[in-house]
Formats: sequence, structure tokens, C-alpha cells
Amino acid sequence: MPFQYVFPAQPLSGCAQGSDNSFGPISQCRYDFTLFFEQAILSAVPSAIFLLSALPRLFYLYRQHEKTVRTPAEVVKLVGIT
Amino acid sequence: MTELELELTWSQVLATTLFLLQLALLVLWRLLRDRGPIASDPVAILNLVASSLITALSHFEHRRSSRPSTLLSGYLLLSLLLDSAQLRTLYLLGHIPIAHVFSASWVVRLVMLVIESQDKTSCLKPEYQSLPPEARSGIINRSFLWWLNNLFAIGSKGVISENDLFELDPKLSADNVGRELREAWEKRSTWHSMIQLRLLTVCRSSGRAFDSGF
Repeated sequence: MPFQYVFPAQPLSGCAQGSDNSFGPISQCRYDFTLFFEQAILSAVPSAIFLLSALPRLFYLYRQHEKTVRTPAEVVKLVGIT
Repeated sequence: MTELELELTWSQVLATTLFLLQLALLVLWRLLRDRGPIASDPVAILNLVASSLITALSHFEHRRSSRPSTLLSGYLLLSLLLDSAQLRTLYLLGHIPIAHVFSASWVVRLVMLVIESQDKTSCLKPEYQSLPPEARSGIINRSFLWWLNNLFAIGSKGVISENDLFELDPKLSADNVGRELREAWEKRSTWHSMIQLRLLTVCRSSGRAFDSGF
């Protein structure tokens, strides 16, 4: 039997089930943003900005010299068999 | 037999945990299918990719930068603040498994922020140990000017002498600033930039002539 995610029977706030799938941004029935807005704007936009800035930063760092020393406690040696 | 050296720091452990938690979130949203917002899956994938970049960035920033990373601590702080709203919404909606995994990832990000903001003075190579505190401070430290506290502590005990003052930041030293100035000057000395400079001067002085009429 395939695993089924059971949709919550009773949300803590008494909202209609589809209302959080709309963009909003403000939820109709409770003092909150809609989930769609929170995910698409408040979560995705910072992540997208981070992605776009992290790649150039990684290229810049790759060309820099190493500035920290390796302490023996940090290094874990894995021995593998070829 | 091959030997592989892995660097295991707390921030790497936390970053890997974050990646696994984001993966779990993606799986849970996929299981919910059409009953969640349309954006759930793409946003979960985006956050998963972001967390893998956090792992890479954390490693390279630790090795090749003398100060805590602005990008990393800025992103972690921003995402903590904005995701606290989503955390509350998820609990209000009753998506309990997703809410628990989401709060776990929130806590992991918080701990990562604290760790990434620590300064690395004890780990720096000897030639970088003599950098002034400002050059070894991260964005949060510099925003609140906490790096000045040492100087205030010395000052509260007695009179500050020249030896108590910090070394000059290499960026601000006369050699480097002089070199930058010379390079900028040499760039300006070409033929067409002289014309530009003259045109600009003419425009500015005629602008001022009009202003002085009032």
C-alpha cells in the first residue's frame, strides 16, 4: 500500500482548505500571510538572491590564498580501498 | 589503498544536517501533492540547492577569508526572520510533520548563524594574525562596532598610548592607496578621457553660472 500523507483533519485556525493556496498576500480568515505568499516571496526570493550572489563569491574565493590553518582535530581521514 | 582527507568542522556538520532537513521537506511537500500551494515544490527545490551552496560557501569562506562571511550570515539572518512567519503559519494550518521539520531547519540555521559569526583569529595563519580587529570582524560585529570594545576596556583602565592602538588595515595603508590613486590617474590620462573631463568641467561651470543667477 503506497504511503499516503494524511491531510490534517483540523487546522488550529478555522480556515477554508484552499484559502492558503491563493497568493493573498494577506490571509482572508486569520491574521497572517497566506502560505503561498510566504513560500513564493518570503522564502524563495532571499534564496534566489543568495544563489545569484554565492556563485560569483565562490569563484572569487577559489582564487584567493588560504588564510587559515588546518587544526588536526578538524581533519578526519577516511581510508578507502581502490 | 587511497586516503581521503575530510575536513569536519561544526559548521560543515550543521550544513549537511540542513541539507538533509531541506530534502525531507521536499519529500513531505511532494507527498502532500495538490493540497498544498503550487509553489511548494519549486521553492523546496530552490531551498535545497541553496543549502548545498551554503555547505560549499561555508567551507571556502572558512579557508580563504580572514573574516566571517557577510553573504552567509546575511542570508541566514534574513531567512531566519522571514521564515519565522512561515513557521507560525505551518503550525496554524496543522501541517504537523512539515512544521516540525521546518522548525528543526530553523534551529539549525540559527546555530549556524552563531557559529559563522565567530571570528577566526585563532585559526588564522601567522601572517594574517596581525590584521586589525576590524578586518577580522564579520558584518554583525561591524554593524554594532563590537570590535571597539577591547579599545574601550583598555581606555577605561588608564590612558591609551600609541602602542594600544590597532594596526592599520592594509587596504588603508599609504602604499596601497597611493598605488590605487596612481592607477586611476594613469587611466584618466588617455586622450578621450581628457576630452570627457573637459566637457564635464564646462557643463558643471555653466550649471553653476545659471544657479548663481538666482
